[in-house]
Amino acid sequence: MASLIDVVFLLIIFFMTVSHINATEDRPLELPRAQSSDNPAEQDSSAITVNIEDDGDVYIAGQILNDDELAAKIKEIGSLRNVIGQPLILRVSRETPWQKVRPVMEICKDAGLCDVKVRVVKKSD
Amino acid sequence: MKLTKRKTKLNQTELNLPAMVDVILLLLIFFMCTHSFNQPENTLESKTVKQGKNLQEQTKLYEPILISISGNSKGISIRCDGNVCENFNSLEKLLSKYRQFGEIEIIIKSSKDVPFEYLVEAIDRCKLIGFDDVGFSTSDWSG
Repeated sequence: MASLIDVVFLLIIFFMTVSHINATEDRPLELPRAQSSDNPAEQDSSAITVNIEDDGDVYIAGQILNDDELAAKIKEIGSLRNVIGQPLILRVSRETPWQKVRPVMEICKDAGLCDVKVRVVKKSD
Repeated sequence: MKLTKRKTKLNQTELNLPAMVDVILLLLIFFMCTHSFNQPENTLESKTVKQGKNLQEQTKLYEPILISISGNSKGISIRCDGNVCENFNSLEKLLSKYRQFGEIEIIIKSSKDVPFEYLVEAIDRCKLIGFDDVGFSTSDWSG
């Protein structure tokens, strides 16, 4: 009985901590599908992750930003650490029109983030 | 009057184990049901290019291949270096012909209403053929 309780407690603690981590992680988005991507997404703390939803809402670290705020935010991050040459991680919903993504890429490019890593999910054959 | 000491029995608290196990199992079921596993994410590497500016900086042997996608969520049209492609399969066939010339830069530009998924599909097909130098053009294009 004691061992059973131990195991059950461990499971509870596991699910409690994991669900907390999920809540603070990136936004749930329907990412585009790709076949050629084999390298799993690495947790790069130095990279800036930008999430863009269907309607064009842009999020960085859970905070919604417009174009001016995005530029200011990247500038703010740039003042804390060097972002020039760092990769930009884009998590874009698959239905997002290009007109919502292009300005974000331009702002980031102007800030020195030229390399783009697009997050995708593996396309099933 | 003799005072007798009474041995008071301390009420020992007993742990009601079955009830505790019930509560724990309920909590466990709750967290299992509310928790959702995220689909593993991969990374597709690319870059942003400003069409025209980068071309002048390039000293590569071949001009970059331009893939232009226009349309919207209802339907798109694809052009690769001026050649019309019916769909992404024909784009892939055309790109495989270019592959024999070695590594060539590919620039993908799109009109404003094209869903991002199609641009990713274009990059994906380029990478499958073997082209690694693929970028998004951020120049404004009405299509």
